[in-house]
Amino acid sequence: MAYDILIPSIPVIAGYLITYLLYKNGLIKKSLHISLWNFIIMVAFLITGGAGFLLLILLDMGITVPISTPLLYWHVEFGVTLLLVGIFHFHIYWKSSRYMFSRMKKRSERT
Amino acid sequence: MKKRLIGALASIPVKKRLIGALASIPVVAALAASDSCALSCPYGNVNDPYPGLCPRYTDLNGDGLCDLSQITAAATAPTSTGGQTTQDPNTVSDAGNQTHYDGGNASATTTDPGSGQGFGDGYHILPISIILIGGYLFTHFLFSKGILNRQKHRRIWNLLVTAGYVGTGVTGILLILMINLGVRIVLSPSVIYLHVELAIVMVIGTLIHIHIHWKSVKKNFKVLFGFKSHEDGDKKEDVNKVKTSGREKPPVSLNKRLQ
Repeated sequence: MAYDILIPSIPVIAGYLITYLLYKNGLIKKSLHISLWNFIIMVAFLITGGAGFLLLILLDMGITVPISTPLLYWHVEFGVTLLLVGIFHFHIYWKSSRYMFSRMKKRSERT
Repeated sequence: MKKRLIGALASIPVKKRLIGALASIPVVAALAASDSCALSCPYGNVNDPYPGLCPRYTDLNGDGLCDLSQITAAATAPTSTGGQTTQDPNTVSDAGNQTHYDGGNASATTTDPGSGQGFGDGYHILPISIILIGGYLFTHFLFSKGILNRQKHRRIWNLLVTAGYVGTGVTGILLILMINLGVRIVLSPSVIYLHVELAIVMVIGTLIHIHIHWKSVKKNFKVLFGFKSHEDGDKKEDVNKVKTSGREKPPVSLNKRLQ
């Protein structure tokens, strides 16, 4: 079974660009933009994690159920979404992320 | 006795009971994740050749195919006579429908059971969960005692969730590419193994991340759906009580809190 990467990626990237532009142009509040993408990352995480967890249990117990294959498919598709939304999460919280890594960089420079 | 037990349970705050229930999830998961009842390929693969599509690749009969993916292999005990493998005639064989089988090229080097299982025999849900939750409780304790800086406490767990997320993402993308391109390499089971182990780190790390940023999470829901937290509701109830108890205006502090 081949997995689609573009099908989940395009709407997510387009959606993020739209809400980002709306926020930049002052049409929506920053808090709404952030909350929306935090909610999306949470949903993607729950579906990916939940499906992965179920698959792991089924795998370990050696149970084959008819939903195993579609479950794996949706696990992968939502995983791709999670990866992209995770990158956007870093973009949204770039300042604190930079701070998190900059401290590490400074330490390595000192040593 | 029963009443006492019920009374004792009722005395525990709901929040603590909820945390206790959530904390038991990894334990239940680990108990459920037993190898004892594995009989067939959980992914439904048929005649999966070496190194196998998943870390559970086992080849006890040395025919170069995963025993779990051979429908009758787990149930029957194949007998070897003069280099030829024969199966019990009483069992139903599905070999006619199997398309991937390449018996002539069966590798003799794959007889080691579990050789394709990456770095370990199984996935470590319980140890990883315990280590991470224990570590979080420890740093939280240090933070609450003032030994550890709030920023440092947050940074440690943010770095961990980032590492888990990046590792899971990279291995996941690698797996997608390998599956889409039909590439089978010896490292495939190790990549799957790493993907699962890092995903466990990511999941536990994310739950910790949510706990650390709980206020922001509540705020997000408030912004999106207009939900109000329990605390806000309690504060409003307090104000109403004060109002009904004779005072016309609630105390200034309560008003400020509501604002």
